[in-house]
Amino acid sequence: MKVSAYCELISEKNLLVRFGDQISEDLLDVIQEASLCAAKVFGHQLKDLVASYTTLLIEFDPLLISPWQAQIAFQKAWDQHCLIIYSHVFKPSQNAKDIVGSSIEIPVYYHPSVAWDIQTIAQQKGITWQQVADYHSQKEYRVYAVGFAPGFAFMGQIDSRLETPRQSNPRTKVPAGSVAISDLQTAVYPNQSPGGWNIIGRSPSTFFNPESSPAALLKTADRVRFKSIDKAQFIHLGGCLNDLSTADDKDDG
Amino acid sequence: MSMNDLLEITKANFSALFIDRGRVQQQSLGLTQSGPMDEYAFLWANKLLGNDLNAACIEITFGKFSVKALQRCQVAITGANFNARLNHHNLANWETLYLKKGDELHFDGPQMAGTRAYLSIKGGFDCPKPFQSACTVKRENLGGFNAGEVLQVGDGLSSLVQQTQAQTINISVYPELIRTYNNRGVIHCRFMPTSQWALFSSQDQQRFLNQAYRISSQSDRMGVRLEGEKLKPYNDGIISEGIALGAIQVPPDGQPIVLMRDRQTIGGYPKLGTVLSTDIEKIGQAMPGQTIQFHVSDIKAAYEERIQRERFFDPNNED
Repeated sequence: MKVSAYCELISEKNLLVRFGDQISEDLLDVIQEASLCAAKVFGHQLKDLVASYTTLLIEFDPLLISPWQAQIAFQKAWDQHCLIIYSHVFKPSQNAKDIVGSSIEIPVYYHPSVAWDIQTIAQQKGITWQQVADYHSQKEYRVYAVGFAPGFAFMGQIDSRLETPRQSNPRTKVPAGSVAISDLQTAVYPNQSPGGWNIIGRSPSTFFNPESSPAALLKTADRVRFKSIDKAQFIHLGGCLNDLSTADDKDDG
Repeated sequence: MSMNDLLEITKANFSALFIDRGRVQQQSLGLTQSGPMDEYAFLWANKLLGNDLNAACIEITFGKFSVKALQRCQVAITGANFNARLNHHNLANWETLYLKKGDELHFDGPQMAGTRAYLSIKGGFDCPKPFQSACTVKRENLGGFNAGEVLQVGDGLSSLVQQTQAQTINISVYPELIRTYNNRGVIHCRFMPTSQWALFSSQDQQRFLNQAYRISSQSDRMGVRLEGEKLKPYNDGIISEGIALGAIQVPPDGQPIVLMRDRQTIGGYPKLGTVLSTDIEKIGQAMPGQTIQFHVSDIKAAYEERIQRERFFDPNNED
């Protein structure tokens, strides 16, 4: 696989590196590898890294390295990285394998009482809501990006039989732990928030806690499976069955 | 309230919050960087008191904010002019003040110039610093005394350091370095076009450069929405990618949004470019309804001005 990197300075301290224009699992591993490469090249000059589906945003300290030096330094390091270590054939290095090594199982209570949209989706697809749960929990997913809210992990790809567009009318409040789908992606809302994704279950797990380390349960490149649990297990694991009083609130915005 | 409190908030309008230079190294968790809407005024608030430049200050938006001194302390005020008063005396802005017990400091004049003022205290405010930053971000439930909540009437404020004996000499910013803000005129902002500039037709590029955009009232610390002639990018959406401070994105409704300090970490709308990080504060001080005109600049200017600013405020660079 060819792993050319197009480096663009988008501000005096931000280098945006594009690795392709198609979302793929291979690219996800490439970008993890590039994150390691950036950490190595920049060391203490590095201020932040934002990995997303096809890009890596590198923030450096312009007092320590000029934007032009940063651009050249990364481009050179990445070319060497690919050339020497991979001979143009990309295989994740042991380091990257360690990074992508996390496998996480997330318990989910798939039941219409907490999965507000599961029956609607089942009807649209001509299947039962139990089948929606089955299709969703049968696959392993990767985390492609984290954003939107603290600890909100964009995972893909779901079974195409479940593909459902975002709701045109987002809810003003979605309960914490809601497991949701949108197009071919799935995610869990770490905290109560507004949201337009279709809710098909609820997890009793904690997805973001500033007090714990790491604060977020899921990070980019993690492998994730959802495991169906029943009501008793959900409650035993600390799950909350209460629907918000504003459950059906719709926001026109 | 505790014995260490130096100030008590006696008036607040639900927008005064703790702020520092931002939350770093946390974007991979999905946390915004945050930071002051007017970096220049914020840095002066700390510099005037000899504080660490990253010390926590209070950002006061639209005034209507008062504090009462419970003990002797030294503070500084910079940024927007809300006709600040110490008891009944009008204050010049951009200066330090010694407060004695019972003194009241008001930011509540009927007129204002600019929209954000900064209040700092000698040593920096002692406040919670989740993820090593004082920045208060409501949607993330982070910062402030109560998980992302803004400051409230009755909140007590203390400093990280003991306040020295009261003195009478106040220092102020050199007049030529004081920023004055104008809430009526056009704001001129420079930006560097980035590669997605090419996703817009040359007519749209000209349209963007030639019109004065109105700043929408739907603007906040996350983004400033602009109203004007619509733009139509060739692509409605791109694959979500990391976003720089000052990115000018164009959602499907064709009205640009300048992404400010509390911006989301990733986003999927085409971008015209990036406002220079030293010009962002002009937008941060602008009033809804005010107009803004964009001018093409480049990374060289962005870099030179950034370096100049950092060197200017660097305490090791003082002569």
